[in-house]
Order: sequence, then C-alpha cells, then structure tokens
Amino acid sequence: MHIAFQNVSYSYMIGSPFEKQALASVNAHISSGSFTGVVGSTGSGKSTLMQLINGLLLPTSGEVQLGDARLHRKTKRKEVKQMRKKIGMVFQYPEHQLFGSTVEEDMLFGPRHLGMDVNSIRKRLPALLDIVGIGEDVLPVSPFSLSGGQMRRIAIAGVLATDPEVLILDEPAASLDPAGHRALLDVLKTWHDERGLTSILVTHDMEDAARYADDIIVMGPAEKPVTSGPPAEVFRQVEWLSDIGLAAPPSIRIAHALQSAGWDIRDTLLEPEAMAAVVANQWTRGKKEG
Amino acid sequence: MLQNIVIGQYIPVDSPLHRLDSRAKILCLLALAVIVFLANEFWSYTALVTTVILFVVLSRVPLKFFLKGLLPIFILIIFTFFLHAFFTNEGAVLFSVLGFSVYSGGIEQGVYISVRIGSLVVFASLLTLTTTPIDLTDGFESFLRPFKRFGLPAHEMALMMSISIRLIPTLLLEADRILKAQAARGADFAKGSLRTRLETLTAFIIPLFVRSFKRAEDMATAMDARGYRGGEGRTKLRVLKWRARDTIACIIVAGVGVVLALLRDF
Repeated sequence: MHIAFQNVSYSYMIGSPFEKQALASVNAHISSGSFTGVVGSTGSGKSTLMQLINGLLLPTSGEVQLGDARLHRKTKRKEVKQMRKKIGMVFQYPEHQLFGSTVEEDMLFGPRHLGMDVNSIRKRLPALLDIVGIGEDVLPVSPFSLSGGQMRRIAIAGVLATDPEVLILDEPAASLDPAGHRALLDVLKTWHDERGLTSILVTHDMEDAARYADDIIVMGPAEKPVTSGPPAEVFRQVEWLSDIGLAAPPSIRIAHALQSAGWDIRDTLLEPEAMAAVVANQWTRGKKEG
Repeated sequence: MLQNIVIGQYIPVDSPLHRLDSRAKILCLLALAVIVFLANEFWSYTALVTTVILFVVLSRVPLKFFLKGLLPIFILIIFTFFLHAFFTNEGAVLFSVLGFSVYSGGIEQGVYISVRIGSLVVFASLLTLTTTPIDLTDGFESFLRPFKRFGLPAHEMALMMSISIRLIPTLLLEADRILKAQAARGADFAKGSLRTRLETLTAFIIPLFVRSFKRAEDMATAMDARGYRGGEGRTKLRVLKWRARDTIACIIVAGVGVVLALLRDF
C-alpha cells in the first residue's frame, strides 16, 4: 500500500503551556511493497510519524494518504478503525502489551477485535509461532512465565496474526542479544518478502537500516525534517549525518576515513563483506606499487 | 489520548507567588480558608474579592487555569445560589415563581455564598498552580516533623507522597503506550458489547499492573543499592529557606484578615 505524507504537522498538548511541535510540515512517501528504514536521533519524531500512519494520532494539519484512504484532522473514528485492519504495528518493547492468561488467548486478541475469522486463525497459530522460532507447546502457557525474548517474539507473532498489509516496526529488536537481534529482523524481512507487504522499520541502528531497507527516511532537524532516498545515497553523506547526531554504517565510515587519508577508494559499498574486499584489493595493489 | 492531562497543575511561570516558600504558601492558604468566612456584608465581600483578584494577578497564571479549577464545583455554586435565593426571606419581595417568593435578601445571600465558595477554590488552586509538587511535599513534611515524637512517620509519608506524585506522569505515559498498542491490535475502548469491552479493559489493566509492580520492584532495588535506609540522619538537596518575603506574605494575609474582621457586621 502506497503511503504519503503531505505537509503533515503534529503538535502535542495543544493549547497548554506544554505545547510542543513534534513534526513540522513533513512531506515523504513510502512506495508500495518497499521495506523502508526510518532513522533519526532521539526526539526527531520517528514514533510520532509511525503513529500517524495508523491513525493513533491524527495530523494537526496536512494529511496522510494510505492507498485510497486519507487521514486528516477530521477523519472519523470508524474510518480510522477500518484503516487499522490493514496495518500491523509492533511497538517498542511489544512484550509490554501482553495480558492474556494463555499465549493463545493473547495472540487471538488482535484477530478477534478486528473482526477476523478466529477459528481459522487459531489453526494457524502453531505455524506463526514456528516462524518466530517458538514451539507450539507454549500456546496453553501464561505469557508471563516465559523469558523476555520469548515474550517479545510472541507479541510480534500476535501482530502478524492479524495479517496486515502494512507492517510498522518500531525498534523491534531493541535490547535483544546480537544473535536474537539478527534472527528476529531476518524473520520479519522474510515475512515481508514472501507476502509482498509494505514495511517500515524504525531504528537507531544504521547497520540494520543499511542491511534491510530498500529506502531510507532520515528524520532531521526542524529546518529540514525529512530526507529520503536509497541507502547507498543517503549514507554517502557522512558529514551531514554526523551533524544531525547520526552516524553512517561502519562500512561507509571506514571507506570515508580511508578516502580522507589519501586512499584511492571510489566505491563506497554498504555490505561489510563487499567493502572489505575493496579495501583488501587496494591494500594489495598499494603494496605492489609501493 | 491521555497526553492532555496536566498533573500537579503546576504552571511554570515566574511570579512573586511562585518564588515564595511552600511553607509560607501553605500557612497563608490555611489562614485564608478561615478569613474567607469572616466576610458577611457588602464591604467585607468587596475586600475579599479585591484580594482574590490581586492574588490571581500577582500569580501571573493565565485566567483559564483558574476557570478550569472552578468548573467542577460550578454546579455546587449554582445549587447553593438558588437554595439561598429561594429560602432566605429577608428584604423586599422581588418576584414570585410557582408560589415561591424571591426576596432581595435571598439574592444577596446567594451571591455572597457563591463568592465565598469561589474564593476558597481560587485560593486553593493558587497553591497548586504556583508550587511544584516536590516543594509541596517538602512543605508538608516540615509541618509533619514535630509529630514524629508521637510516632508519626513523617519522612516516610512525605517520601510516599513524592514517589506517587513523581510516578503519575510515568504511569500515564505507560498507560498511553499500552492503550495505543492495544488500539493498534484493534481494541476499541469506546464501543462494543459488554463482553468485548471487559476484555479490552483487561487488555489495558493487566499490562499496566504488571509494569507498575515491575517498576516498584526496580525502584526498591535501586534505593537499596544506593544505601537508602529511611529518614534517619538524611540531609536534603533542596533546603527550604524562609526569607523576608515569606514573612511579608504572611503579614499581608494577616492584614487582609484584620481588614475583613473590621469591616464585617457584628
């Protein structure tokens, strides 16, 4: 589903002395079927932007287009709810939303409240758990008896159970160990590819953004709220990124550092392995010549 | 959703009232609560209203925050006004409705009582609008301290109060996050059958409780780890300081009391 932001502004606590503008006339678009990475420093409005997509927040001004639907200041609750059926949202620390007395009950909460066929989804639960790497024997168990990592994966499986067309992932792998971190993102990327979803990954981790995203949206300072483009293009602006408190992925930073030290490196590549090959190549050539 | 709730009501502007010691403000409020009842005829009420207006102007808090405080008790004020208007039989008959005669004395009495209740509320709002919750608890603690010898756990009470106040915004933020997470999963907190609504409510309450207990546990551990062992021998980072202006404030309030006492009808 194509998503577009048109002059979207959002302010919190309007009319109180604590009023704060989180987004100022943002224009951006996310093409259908893409896996988009959203990066930005703390407080740059990433989470606000995500909540505007599924109508948890409605724009103070401007509008958000989702396929044929539009969300603006005066959109009715009913339409918003209709929208939400198509959008799955994994919040930061999704394990905090677990409440059911059994894993099964919790996972069926979403489908039931979105008016889906609960019985057919019940049959799919073991497969869903398998995708996130958990055995189906946890279905009758209380989610609170599981480990933090397992709770996280169950909460995510609960969102996948609603079969969304758009998947919003807000730091889904935060505070997991490195192996679990990669495994979880790999699972979500595979799910995205197989089902042809439109996915949005909010992250602090530039390596994740570089590795998984087809497009990058950088949330910057107020003067220029949004910059977007393919990862190779966005991450090439090493100095600008560090000016707004972000760092390019390590592979690009190394290439950049070698360039400024006088190395003849023309390609800056995102994949660490490919970049390493370029550097090694230069190194051996330099030795031969020197 | 919940982000529009302002807790503690404190309005961060700079004014003579904001700068006063919280103990002085609590004392003045107590005194004013008594003084309000001294007014009983036109001139003493005029003096009272003048005082209220003067204090509100001095506080530099926008007027709408006082109106917000008055709104919940507006019904009470209206009710007492009509009660007095209809059941006081003094002065000249103004008009009659449905067999009830309304006397001029009744209207007068109704207005007076409404002004009295309104002033009380405005004075109380003045305290919470110009004092941070932390200063307020510090003030209460210093008033409670003398009762320690009778076994009153003054420090612990103040600590409980400040922890509760401190955690309200955190809890609200948490509640907001959970509400949104469940709404994203399709929960509708405003509509649906009783059964669905009960389930949505559980989906909100249970995570909130789980998080709160977890937070309380973490906090206890953090306090233990830093060697917290109660109020014994504990010093404060922010020491309340009674200055000349605090004494002056108390004298002004006492002055208001004297003026009203002189003006009132005996």
